[in-house]
Amino acid sequence: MSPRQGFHYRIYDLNLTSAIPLPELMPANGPPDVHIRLGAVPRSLEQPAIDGLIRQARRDVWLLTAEHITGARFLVRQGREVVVERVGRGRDDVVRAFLLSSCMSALIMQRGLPPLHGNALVGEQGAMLLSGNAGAGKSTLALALHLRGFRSLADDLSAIRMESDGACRVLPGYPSIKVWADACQRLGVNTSELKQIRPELHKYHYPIPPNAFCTRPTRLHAIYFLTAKPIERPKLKPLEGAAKLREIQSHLFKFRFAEAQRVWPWLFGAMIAIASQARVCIIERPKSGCSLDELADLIENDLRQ
Amino acid sequence: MSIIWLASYPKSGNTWMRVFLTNYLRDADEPADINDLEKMGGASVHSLVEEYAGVESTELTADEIDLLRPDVYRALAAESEEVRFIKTHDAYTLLPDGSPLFPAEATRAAIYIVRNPLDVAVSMQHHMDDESLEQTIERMGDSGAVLAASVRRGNTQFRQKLLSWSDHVSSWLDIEKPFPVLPVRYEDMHAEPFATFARVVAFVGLPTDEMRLEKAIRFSRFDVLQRQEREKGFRERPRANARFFRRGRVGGWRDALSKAQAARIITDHRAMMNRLGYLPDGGKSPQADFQSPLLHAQFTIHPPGL
Repeated sequence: MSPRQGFHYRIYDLNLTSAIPLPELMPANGPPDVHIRLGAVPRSLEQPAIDGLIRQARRDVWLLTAEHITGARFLVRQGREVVVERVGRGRDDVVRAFLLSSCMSALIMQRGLPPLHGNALVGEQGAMLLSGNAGAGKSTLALALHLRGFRSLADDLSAIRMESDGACRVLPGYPSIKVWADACQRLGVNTSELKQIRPELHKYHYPIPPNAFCTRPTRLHAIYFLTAKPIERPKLKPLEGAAKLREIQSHLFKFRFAEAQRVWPWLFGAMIAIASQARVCIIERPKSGCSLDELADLIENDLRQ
Repeated sequence: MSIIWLASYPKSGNTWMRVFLTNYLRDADEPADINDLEKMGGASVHSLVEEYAGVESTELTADEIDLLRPDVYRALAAESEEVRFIKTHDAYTLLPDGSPLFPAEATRAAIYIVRNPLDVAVSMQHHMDDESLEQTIERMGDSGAVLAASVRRGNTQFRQKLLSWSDHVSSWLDIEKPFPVLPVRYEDMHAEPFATFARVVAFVGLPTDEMRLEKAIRFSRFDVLQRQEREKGFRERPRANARFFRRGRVGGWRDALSKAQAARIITDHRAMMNRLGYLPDGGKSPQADFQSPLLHAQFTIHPPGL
């Protein structure tokens, strides 16, 4: 396809046509479900149900006005359209980062898919999510597990679909894991051949080869929430009942549950479905660091049970 | 409502102040759990920016995150029904457009806790994993110093501008601000706890109750905190084998710093140390002057008008 007609990609089981190149994504395999285009974006929404500091939302419209940082405003509509208006000196890499994170989470929320914060990998038992707050070490552990043979399914933002058969399936994101330079070093990955996500940050795209990327929606088996504690050895704690639900709710991607649930009331039911289907564990790891092998072993042993 | 910043250079008594305020606010029959101070949690965690701004903060530069922070604090203040106490180790700095990092509209007041830099150096070096005393002292004298500069595993905080120890103090106590700042010396929290914490309570606009004050001071005594840390651990410990509540002494530097190290700190910070009463004889024999309530003389304290 020529750039004039747009670039054609596939992400979260959707085909999209984009006026902005997003080279990390897989190529499209069908007519577009979503259009990303350049155009006029309002500065505010009327009567927003979510009225945050740089974003607003109603059921079918979501607006991000972080132009002092990104050099652009973003509008996501009806789960089908993303409009980008450049303001001043927009930075391509920053615009792309916001498109693939915040905008994508709003888009899939509008399509009825809960976005969870974390990496998704696929093993024999199905899909597992590695979740946790920023800095918890999700992507580093995801890359470690990937290097042990787990196929990658999604990086950072994992979209979950409730199927008609009642199963929760994790949808394929794009074949790359974003990792910090020190994580690469620990895992023996040479960064000189990797693409930096932004020139100012020592964070890289680790490309996943086609045979190591899972392109099919995959049944969710387990979620591991990673957290750093002042302890000496890593520990895995399985959660039950309401504790599972609480943890899942607090790791929606870039939405606060209470806020999002006001706009998308189906979300509560989706959270319950996820909590009832998935094994949910907390992994506490030492703040001062520990071997990635030890953490990966904890997960592999848990998956075998 | 709005925010009262609990500001300090690291290892200067900020946690002690938070424990005291938690105990005073709770007014319970047993000491507050040191692992349950979240409501006064840090101003600098990534998850706070992510939650309020809805953006991926680890894909932003530290300068870009700084641009978002005033908005985050405004939102935090707007949605809090009560006054929020928030800990920060940031120096009081301005953003490139000249607006302050800590926005006036979101701020009710600040309590600035300051400690003799000779003791800070020793405590800070113990807190850091891989730093020599020389490096700590060097950093305390570096006007470009920052905390959490590198994003690495386990770093859940974003960069905070510390500046040098003297600049940090000066940024909070000298730069004119549209809100009142109460300076509190760590040494006064030790030597005259009742008078010092009573001043804090009055400043933040809480009713002063002597029994409650006495109890909150007792519940936040160093041995109580140490016992809790021994029995249950402390989530803010830097690592498993390190104690957060280590000695909590005034003048402990005498056993830990060489003459040359102490002299270097005094050379770097003489003017500010003098002002704060840490060099009673101009630096010939450094020691904190615990007796004189110097702060009233040194800094004008405006009532916060609560």
